[in-house]
Amino acid sequence: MIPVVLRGMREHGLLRAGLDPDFHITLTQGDAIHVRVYEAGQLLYFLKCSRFNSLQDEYERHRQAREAFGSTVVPPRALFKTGEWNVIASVGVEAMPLRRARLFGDRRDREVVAAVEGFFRQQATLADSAHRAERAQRLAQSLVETLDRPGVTSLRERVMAPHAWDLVRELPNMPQHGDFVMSNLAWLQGRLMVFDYEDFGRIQLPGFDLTTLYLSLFEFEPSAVERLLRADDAELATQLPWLRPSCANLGLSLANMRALLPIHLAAFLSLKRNYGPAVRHIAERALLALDSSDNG
Amino acid sequence: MGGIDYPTALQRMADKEQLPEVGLQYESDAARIRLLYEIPLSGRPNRALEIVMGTKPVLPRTNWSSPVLVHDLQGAIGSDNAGEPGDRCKLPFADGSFDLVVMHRTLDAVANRTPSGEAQAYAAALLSEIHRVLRADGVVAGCATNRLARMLRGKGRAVRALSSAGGYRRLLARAGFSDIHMFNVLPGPDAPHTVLNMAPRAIRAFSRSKLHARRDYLSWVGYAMRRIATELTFDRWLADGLFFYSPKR
Repeated sequence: MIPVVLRGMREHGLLRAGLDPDFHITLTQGDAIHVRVYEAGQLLYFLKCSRFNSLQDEYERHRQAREAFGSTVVPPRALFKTGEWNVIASVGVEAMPLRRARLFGDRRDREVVAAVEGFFRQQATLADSAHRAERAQRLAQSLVETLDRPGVTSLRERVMAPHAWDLVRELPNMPQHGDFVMSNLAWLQGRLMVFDYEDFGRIQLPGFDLTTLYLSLFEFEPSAVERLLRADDAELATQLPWLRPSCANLGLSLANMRALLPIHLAAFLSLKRNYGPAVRHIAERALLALDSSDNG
Repeated sequence: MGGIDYPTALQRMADKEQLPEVGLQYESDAARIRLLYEIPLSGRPNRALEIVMGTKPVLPRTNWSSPVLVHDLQGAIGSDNAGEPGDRCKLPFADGSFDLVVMHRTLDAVANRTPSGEAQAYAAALLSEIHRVLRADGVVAGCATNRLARMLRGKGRAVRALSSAGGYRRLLARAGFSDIHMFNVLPGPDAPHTVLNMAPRAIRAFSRSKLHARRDYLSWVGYAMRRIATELTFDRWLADGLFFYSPKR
């Protein structure tokens, strides 16, 4: 596999002839392999390779994200097929993962907080009001299918609550990253970097990324769902001072965010339906916490 | 939290789950082991040989893309037969017979099933034979336990490991292989997830990033110790599992 991929990179001008790079490989539990290509200790490229997926759709999403968010997004360099492998090559950026403490708690970093608020401000500029009703209908249909399982009737009712869907129909379409979790965020030379555009734009419901960011800070623990629903404004303002301004940047109130939470959680599960059991378990557990918060 | 039985509810939600046709191709450990042994290949090998020593072969259960011939060394070198390692490791195949030879933990078995002090000689003889039966550009690939990691972690006595990364490299070189690639395989060869090149500069950059992500969960002393280990690239010596491959040039 590696000789084939390196040959493809040389053919597409991504590697100099004669260069024999080092590489680390991650064998995902999905349908792709991630390869980090190094030369002399410098990360040259980040490759996503798949035999089962053309990656065309993901490459287009990545390009759209780059267009929308500029330097926050690592530039995609090329999509090519080599042998039986489809490859997306992105510029290698060895950015440091964003640590939780920089967004939550006493040691949070103003620069990082401002960058996160700025991300959501930028996201709001992508708002588009065309075909809102149709998009809401498609989302509702997808969530009904996701929750078409025995034993989750009350949860389904909660997710499909009419008042929340009235709100959804009023909101503009706004392309969401789709997996805006801490492990996909990094900090590089004073700026926020966001990775993984596999699901960019699949969800267009404002606030979805903000919800996933909030929950990822607490590793999607059910208690985090309860906290968001029940915490008073002063508590949230103290611990997560960026939450309300980020909502405001998206044109949402905190009350709206809370009303949308069941839909956000169900949409997150819907996006993760083709992932491995561990990831689905995390998404399901957070969604089920809604039932618990009703009963608790 | 009250009112809901999570395991039961999750099971109910999972009842309807089926593996989709796409999206989870590498879900099973076997699928990722197959991928591990595809890493060094330029195409689909026509003729693959897996060498085992009283253990179950792994390639056949990975749904390997071509027929796999399995050769078990147990009868020849795991018994009390007399003879020199060179004779007992003879492979009953003509020169240049295979595109790929896989030894998944075979060298671990050699270390554990041959008399102490002779394991290195058996391994050297076996690798020479593998070099002989590979065609030009054919690849030997395998996984083995890192003896240094086991010693450093105080686990050396439970299972004998033949050697460490440098030792395996020397054995391969003595057998005639020159273009040798050595990796850490995490969490281990039987459920591979991450394959890390052992080149110091590459592994340092990767380890720094991983350590940074864990920083909030470490005391400053713990962080400082790990940071020193990262800068000195100790990590690469501490992984139990090694993956190696080398094409016959």
